[in-house]
Amino acid sequence: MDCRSPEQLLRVAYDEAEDAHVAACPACRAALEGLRAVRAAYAATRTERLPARFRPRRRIPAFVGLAAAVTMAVGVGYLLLRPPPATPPELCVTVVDADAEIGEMIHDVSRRLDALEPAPPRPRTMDRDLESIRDRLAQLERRTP
Amino acid sequence: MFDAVVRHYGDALFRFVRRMVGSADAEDVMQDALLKIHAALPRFDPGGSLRAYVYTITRNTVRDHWKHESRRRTVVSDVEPDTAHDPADDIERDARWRAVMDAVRALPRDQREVFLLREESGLSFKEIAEMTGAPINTVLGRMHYAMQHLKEKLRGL
Repeated sequence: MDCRSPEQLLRVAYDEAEDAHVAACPACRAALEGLRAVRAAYAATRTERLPARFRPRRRIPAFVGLAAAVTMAVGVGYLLLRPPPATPPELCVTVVDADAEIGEMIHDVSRRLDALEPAPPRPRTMDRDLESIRDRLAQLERRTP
Repeated sequence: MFDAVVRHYGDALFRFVRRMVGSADAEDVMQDALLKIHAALPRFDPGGSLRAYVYTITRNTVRDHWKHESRRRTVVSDVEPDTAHDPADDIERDARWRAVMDAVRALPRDQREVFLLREESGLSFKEIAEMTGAPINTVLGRMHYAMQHLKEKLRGL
């Protein structure tokens, strides 16, 4: 077996070279895995970030700044120049004595009922019609032999 | 263009700087590097690699810092500032994170530089060789020793 040198393995570990031998050779593969384990351990420590004071500030585009300024000016102008708000109506609270009102309503209804005229007598038309029918029947019976 | 460079490369550049010089000096060195990048961007050749350009400037800034530090240390004391353990990490990190960071910081500078450039910048070994002016086999050799050291230190994690 023609095993790879540490330098060649480093190139493979950093993806600068491919080598079919390494995949097939247990010794080279173990050495490569050792390199990759170190890389992984180091990668887990990459947590620090550039301190904020060195970071470029995000610039607001000119049109956004202009729009914000106009909006603010309009808002402030409106607040300063708007007419004073109308005096709110005073609250009216009416306390109703429900029992008294209902009693008065009942009394009123009773008074109206009493004031109604009595119903007219029932017309007698129906009774007269019955009598004439009976007379007619009697005549008919007399004529019948 | 500078804003785009900072947005795109800023985090990785900062990690590279912090792990090269330690947390105490990281922001000062980063500031120097960004100022130099800002000044140098108009001279960037659009036909070249912007990534390599930005990392070259940052690496040189780190090297300048080391030179300055070594002069100062000669005067003040002989303590090596590249001690493995950075107390700033204890506040916010877990044990595994600290173990990896300590192992990286314990690497000799040349090995650490190659390792961090390869990991953080994504530059190829050939590009790193061009940037550092070292033969590619030297770069690969440093990387190999760095990996051996880290594997040893991180065994069992």
